[in-house]
Amino acid sequence: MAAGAFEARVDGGYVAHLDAAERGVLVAVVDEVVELLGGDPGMSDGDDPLEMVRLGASLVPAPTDPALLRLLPDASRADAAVAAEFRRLTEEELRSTKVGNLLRLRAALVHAGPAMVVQPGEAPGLAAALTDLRLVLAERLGVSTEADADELHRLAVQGDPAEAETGEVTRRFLALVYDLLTLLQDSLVWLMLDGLPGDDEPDPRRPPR
Amino acid sequence: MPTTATVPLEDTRADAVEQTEAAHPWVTIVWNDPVNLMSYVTWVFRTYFGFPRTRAEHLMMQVHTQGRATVSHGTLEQMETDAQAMHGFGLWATVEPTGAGH
Repeated sequence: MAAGAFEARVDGGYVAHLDAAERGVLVAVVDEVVELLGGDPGMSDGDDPLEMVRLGASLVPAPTDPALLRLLPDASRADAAVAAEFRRLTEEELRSTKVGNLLRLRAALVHAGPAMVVQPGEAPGLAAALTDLRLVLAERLGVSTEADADELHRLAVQGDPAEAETGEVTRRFLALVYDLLTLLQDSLVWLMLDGLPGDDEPDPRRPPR
Repeated sequence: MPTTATVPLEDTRADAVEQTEAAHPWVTIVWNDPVNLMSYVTWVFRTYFGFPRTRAEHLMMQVHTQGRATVSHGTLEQMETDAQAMHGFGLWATVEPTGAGH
């Protein structure tokens, strides 16, 4: 099993092995996305009762930052009124949900030693947080097609001969972070799928153990 | 998602499609993106909508290969609830009137 992937524990939990540098980088990415969502990494959780008061707010404009728009997308392509009403009704709660998931992932990373242990009940929120981190990184790295995503993976694995040129080192570093997040999420989700009832047939897409 | 719906008496002469559209005037669409994992989309469809594995995988493949899939039918309010849930999971969903995209 590759380093970083989640594995099942005998007690029913899941564990991923990450070194201090990897955990530190992931915490930094979490903090950036929490900030993007308007949250505060110092908050204990996303369920501030004052957030609920703001639910009655009037018009909420769509985000102009494409990465934030990917986290809080329009709910209608054709009907601006439907999209605006959806945003007015749901955006604050969605931000709060996402910040809460991200802060729980942050806490798991900060409190972990080399072994990050996740209980099955916490896994869905962490998987959603890992998705949001990958969505923001992908947007920042200009990944808009499957081919872009494949190219990013190639960059992470093989590097680039012209790496010494300005920008490529940073891009490869972010590609490696994205690959690590993908590995963490995919391995966690396969364990979550294993835990669902009625899943006893082998799946041809399941990665080899 | 209910498979049967109460149809007003005056609508009984309408054909089955029209009855379905009257009872389920809106749909939720999930769109493909290059980030979301096939495993995760399948997990979301199985756990949120309660679809059996084969149906969840069929819809996931439809999103992946056709770019979009209709995942639920109902009132606008119900579809907004589903779209909000999908956005919470990090999937991009939109709502539209039944038949609008075809």
